Amino acid sequence: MSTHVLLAAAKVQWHTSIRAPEHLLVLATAPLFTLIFLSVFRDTGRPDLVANAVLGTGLLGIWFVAVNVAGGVIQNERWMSTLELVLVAPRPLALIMCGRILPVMLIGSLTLGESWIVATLAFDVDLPVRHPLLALVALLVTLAASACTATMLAALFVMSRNTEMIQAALSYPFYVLGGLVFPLSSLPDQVEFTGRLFYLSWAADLLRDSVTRGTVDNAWGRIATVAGMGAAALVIGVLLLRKVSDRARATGAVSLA
Amino acid sequence: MIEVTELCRTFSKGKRLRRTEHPTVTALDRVSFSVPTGETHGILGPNGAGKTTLIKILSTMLVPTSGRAVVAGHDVVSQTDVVRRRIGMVFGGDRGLYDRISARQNLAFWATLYRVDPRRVDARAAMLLERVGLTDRADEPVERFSRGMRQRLHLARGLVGDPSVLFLDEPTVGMDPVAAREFRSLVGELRAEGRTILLTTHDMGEAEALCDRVTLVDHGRVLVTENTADVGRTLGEPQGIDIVLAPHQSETLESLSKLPEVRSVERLSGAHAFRVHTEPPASVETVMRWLVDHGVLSLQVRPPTLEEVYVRLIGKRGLTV
Amino acid sequence: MSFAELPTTYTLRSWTVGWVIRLGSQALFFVLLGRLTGATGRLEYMLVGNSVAVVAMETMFVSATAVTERFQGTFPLLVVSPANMGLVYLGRGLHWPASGLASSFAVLSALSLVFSSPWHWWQVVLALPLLVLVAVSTYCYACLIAALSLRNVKFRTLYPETGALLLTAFCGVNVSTSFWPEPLHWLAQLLPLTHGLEAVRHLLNGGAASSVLLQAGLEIGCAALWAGLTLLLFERIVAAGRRDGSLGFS
Repeated sequence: MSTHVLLAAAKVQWHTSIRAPEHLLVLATAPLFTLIFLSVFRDTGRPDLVANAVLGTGLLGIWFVAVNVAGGVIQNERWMSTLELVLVAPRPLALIMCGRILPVMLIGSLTLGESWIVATLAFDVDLPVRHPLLALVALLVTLAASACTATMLAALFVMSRNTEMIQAALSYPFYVLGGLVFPLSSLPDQVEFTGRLFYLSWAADLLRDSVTRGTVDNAWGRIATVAGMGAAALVIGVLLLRKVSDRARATGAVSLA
Repeated sequence: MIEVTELCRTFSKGKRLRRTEHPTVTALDRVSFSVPTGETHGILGPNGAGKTTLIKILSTMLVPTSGRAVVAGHDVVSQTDVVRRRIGMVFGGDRGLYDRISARQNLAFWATLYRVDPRRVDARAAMLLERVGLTDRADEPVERFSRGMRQRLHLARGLVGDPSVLFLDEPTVGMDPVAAREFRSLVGELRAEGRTILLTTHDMGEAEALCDRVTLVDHGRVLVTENTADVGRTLGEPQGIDIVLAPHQSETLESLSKLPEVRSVERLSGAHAFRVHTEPPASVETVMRWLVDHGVLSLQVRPPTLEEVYVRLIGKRGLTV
Repeated sequence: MSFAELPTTYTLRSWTVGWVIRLGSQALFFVLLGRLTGATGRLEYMLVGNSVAVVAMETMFVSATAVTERFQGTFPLLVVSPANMGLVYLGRGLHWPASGLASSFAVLSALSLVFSSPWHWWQVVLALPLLVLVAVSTYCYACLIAALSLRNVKFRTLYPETGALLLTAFCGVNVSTSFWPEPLHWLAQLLPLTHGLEAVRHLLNGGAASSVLLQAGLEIGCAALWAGLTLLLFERIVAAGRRDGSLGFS
């Protein structure tokens, strides 16, 4: 039965998102990001960084939707006054929210494909994947971890007052910390250390390695790290969601402010 | 079916900076009443009287500060899950729907949440759409719907779980008269099916048309619970005497209006029909005797309407608060 | 009216914390990208480009202001007022280029300091008038995008985001406009930012005053072009709205 709830929620989100230009925004901006990244690398004669551009755009897209679309699902329910109805439905809030977040992650992952196409058509780039299976697993785990993190963010956003500011702060600083386009190892030690606490930095390195490297060290350990960080975020998210619904019942208000 | 005992709810006012004392507002103050199975019960009162708070507690959206509420045989605080499966919730205004998806998709989603067998979700959605007359527009996104259509969809949404208790929180607010009338006839059907319905409203006509009994609340307190038909008779003093005069009694009318106990005489729509308002209301008897003595044979004491009782009990606060 | 809104739109703290982080880190991100390439001068090139582009990003918020107006239902009131719609709008959002100018200058100064750029601080100060110019021209462009957002409220986030990224991609922010194929290169000459940015580059690299002034003049031309287009578009939108009633709804 839980799967049905998950799917039903996913369906609602999918049908909503495909009619919502603001949810699909990232599909319009992603090709432009690819163009910008690749133009810089081509202009400076660094064909070896093509994978950074293509994968970077995709990771950027995934993180963007996690923060801006998935992170807003509860907020949206609140605006439409459906949140109260969801809260009194005889199903756990976390289950419904997870269901809503899944199709959003799918939209985010489409940017990776877009980026690949733009790279091929506009820059005539040939980017072979050295370890296709590993790359696929890494991508799926990254998507799952992003969905988990988005659940946590969604709960946090609905409790906080200044969501837009937090969303803004979660953009470029985290593109840097996540090593989405350039590896963390190219940054100062403190930044690198902080970045290592963020699941995307592991995911980005692993994806790049699986595409470009001959041998990938400790692949499964790194996958486990991404998955573990995602799971931790999910646990925090579910706890926060429980707090949100308890709070709503106790005070009649959802936000902490 | 609904049993409310000494229910209280307070809200803290202002920002929660410290957990120490802060001023509180009492939304519900020792509210008690009960609604037997199959009854349509109206909760009447001005804005801020506590109607919505009451519905929120009964529908498990909010916990009470103290007191007890039992819905469909289960406590709303300790047996939340069971209560949730048995109730349906409909609120007024045009919110509470997923705007960008179709009516059918909205209902299918909620049906799954309300534990409808996955194989029967589509059939259930179709049946409900038919019932509220939205079959023709079922696959359009809800954002294109009129207020009345949205409200009917809302009602269908409240019915997905086939609830035995239905809460309607000011369901016709902001609807145009035709839409409101259609909506009320739908509620009338549900009532005929024997569902228990708790309805809050400002609209006295709506309460009179739909409710078996009504409870008047103000400042979070119950003022009275009474049969809708009897509320005027039990509570209010008579509001006036409706009379029909014979064509030759025009002089009678003139002297009637000069009586000290008569405040005004209002012409009604029928030929020679009038309504006599007395002052004070208790002097009805004196005036009646006078009328009989003057050969007026068609006369009827009129009990106050629900609206008049409401205005008398609650005053005109509803307009200002 | 528009500057009166400044304190409500921004408390000082949310301004510094929120948008300087957002826009500053955006510039920083691209600077680090430039550093990654290891090509000489690329870091400085992208530092200047992205710092100046900050002003373009921020002026795009005029779209949000305009759409809010529409949601508040005050839009039809503006339409029936005896003022020129386009001019009213150009005035309504003026606080955005002003704050964008401040952000841009702050980011340029900070990044120049952090990456010990070869130019002098007084050259950065001298760049201020050029930044004002870029603020004005990108604002005219942003107002056109605001007009489009008004017409198509559904796309209210799509238009400004794409509009800003187009400038970042093709106006010489990260790579010279000549990198792109001929048609794009020529299109960039008509877009705001291109010439103003070029002028700032000449100034910081100690180029001849004449070339700085020439680029500044071209940027003024672009500003005029986009201002004209914006006013025209507003006129058409109002006219169309009166015909089909699309202005009234919220």
